Amino acid sequence: MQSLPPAGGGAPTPGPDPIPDRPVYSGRLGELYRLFLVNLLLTVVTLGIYRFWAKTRMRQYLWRHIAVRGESLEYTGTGKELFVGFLKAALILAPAFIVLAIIEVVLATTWPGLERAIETLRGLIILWLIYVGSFAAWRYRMSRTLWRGIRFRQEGSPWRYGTTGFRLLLLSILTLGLYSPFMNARLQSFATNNLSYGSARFTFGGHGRDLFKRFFVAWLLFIPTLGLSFFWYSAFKTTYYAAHTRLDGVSFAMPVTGGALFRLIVGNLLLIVISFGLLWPIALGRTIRFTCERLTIAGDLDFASVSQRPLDAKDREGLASFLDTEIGIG
Amino acid sequence: MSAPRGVGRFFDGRTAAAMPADIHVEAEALVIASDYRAPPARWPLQSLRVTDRRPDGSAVLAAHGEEGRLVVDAALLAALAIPDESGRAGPRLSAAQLRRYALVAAALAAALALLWLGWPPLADRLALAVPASFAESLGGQVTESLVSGKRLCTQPAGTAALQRLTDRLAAQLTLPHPVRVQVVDDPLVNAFAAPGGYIVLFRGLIAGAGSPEEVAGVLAHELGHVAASHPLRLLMRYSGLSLAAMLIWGDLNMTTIASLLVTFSYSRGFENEADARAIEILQRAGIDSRGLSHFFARVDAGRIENALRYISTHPTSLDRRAAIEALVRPGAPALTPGEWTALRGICQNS
Repeated sequence: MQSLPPAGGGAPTPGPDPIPDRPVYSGRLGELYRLFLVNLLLTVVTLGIYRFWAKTRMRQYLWRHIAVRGESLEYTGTGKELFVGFLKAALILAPAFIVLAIIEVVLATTWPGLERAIETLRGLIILWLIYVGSFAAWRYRMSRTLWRGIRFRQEGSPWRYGTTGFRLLLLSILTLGLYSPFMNARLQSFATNNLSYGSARFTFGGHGRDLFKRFFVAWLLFIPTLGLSFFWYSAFKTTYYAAHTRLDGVSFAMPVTGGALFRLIVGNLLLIVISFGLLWPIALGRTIRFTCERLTIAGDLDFASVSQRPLDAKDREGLASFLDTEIGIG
Repeated sequence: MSAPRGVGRFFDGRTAAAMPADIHVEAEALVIASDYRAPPARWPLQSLRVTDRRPDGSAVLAAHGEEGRLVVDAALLAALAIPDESGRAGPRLSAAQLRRYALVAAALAAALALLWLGWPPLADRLALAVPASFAESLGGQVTESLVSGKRLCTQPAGTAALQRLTDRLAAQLTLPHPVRVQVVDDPLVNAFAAPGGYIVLFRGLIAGAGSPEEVAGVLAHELGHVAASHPLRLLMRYSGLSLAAMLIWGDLNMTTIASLLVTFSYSRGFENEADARAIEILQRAGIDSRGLSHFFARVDAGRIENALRYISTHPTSLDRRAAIEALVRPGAPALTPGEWTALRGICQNS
């Protein structure tokens, strides 16, 4: 393919501006804070209705300030889409929960023992919906992420992801957690192997058995280390996921240590808890910087051969907005 | 001024390749020509927007409905004079759009106002339509969850005394269900009524009462709530509002708080109504109704320990006290001295 100055793909051209092999985050805390506070104010004033537009503005800011290989990302979603998605999900879910509540009262009066069973059932349904909703939200976000004029696309049915996730979670619980590395790898595989950038597909070649040894050590050390061993495992898992992910000729690496992950997660938790959420933008900035400083992207993509694929009408975020499960970026 | 002209980097939205492009304006459109692509792309000038401004002065342009992006330098950007839309979700609002948004906001406000004002009477109607058997089972569940983990007081002589008093008072009403009074072993001064004729008294209330007439007054007050279906009506109002709040916030925690606030602000009127009915019940049963005002006077004066909870759920005001004082009359004792001693010992069961 042609080599293009100054930030084209293809063969690396020697020049004054070397193209960084890491994503670069150029957001500023002051700007992030102003956006956060304005969003908070408008959300409160509108009794929460503004939150869909607030999320959108936050994402627009973050995406715009993350540059990969010299070109920034762009978030093309709108607040209206989120709002309509939320209304659709609410229209389906609210009556369902009302019916369940009525069944609960009626059954509890005729057969008191069933009350607990229905409460458990409701908990399980919510858990399942959280899995479904978070994948639907991720799908939507990918479909609204533009880089170099080409969209990302996450395929795979949220219902299938949710059902698999839910099923494997039960299996993990039954095995006292020992199945969970296999569960993680399978879900990661489902998500990554269905992810594409335009016509270029991501692939994930990892397997749970590679994670199991480390997991088992962490599992045994869980009590003696007061849970700290899981940061060590989690760091290994992150590194493993990145190393086994490819996008055509592009490979990824993300060396993360347990100590760094501990500082990030516990630090963020403390920041948010001591401030009742008001320091959230600092925690957000830390998370993005953490990722950008560690993720390296090697190899080149033949950009001219990456073509746009049509937008999938199924991409919507309603369910996640309704359950408010979203804890990721923005 | 000459027509804007320059070079840029073009992503055409079909492939991810970056194309060096020559840019000029022709017939109210931006013409983007590249050696790698034919024919040139034409973006109408009025549909252009800036999606990103970079620190070096360059900017990313987009046209409405296009996924392609064009990176231009500061000079060309200035020459094109595009209104700053950076950070906006869409183009600048037209007057028609502004009117539409105002209409939506007004409709939303009207819906909320309607909910706020219109829901309580509607919920009351719905509460009346609930069959007595359903109210009873609902009340049983509510009571069970509220007293769960607390020890029930069932000393036989005390229970019998309380049952006689309850029957005397309940006989003055025509209720579709029996009245069930339970005492829980809890030092707080509290009492509540659940749907379906369930009433719960806390040990602290009996211990803090100065006379059997005070207990009878509180019991009659709770019976007043029962007679007017207040518990069921509150439950209806609460469920409806929490559903509405859940739809607005999409979150269950905020919902509970909001609904509780609203429910408590509604319940003041219920307290006055229950007072009036309580005095009527006591007087028809021939019992000295001054016990009710004595009890509230003692709670207000802080002479009963652990009464904070009672005050928070049964807010008293000068108006309310005055209304009670004006209605109460002397009458017969509520319990014999023997029964009163038994009632005070109701929690001494093993």
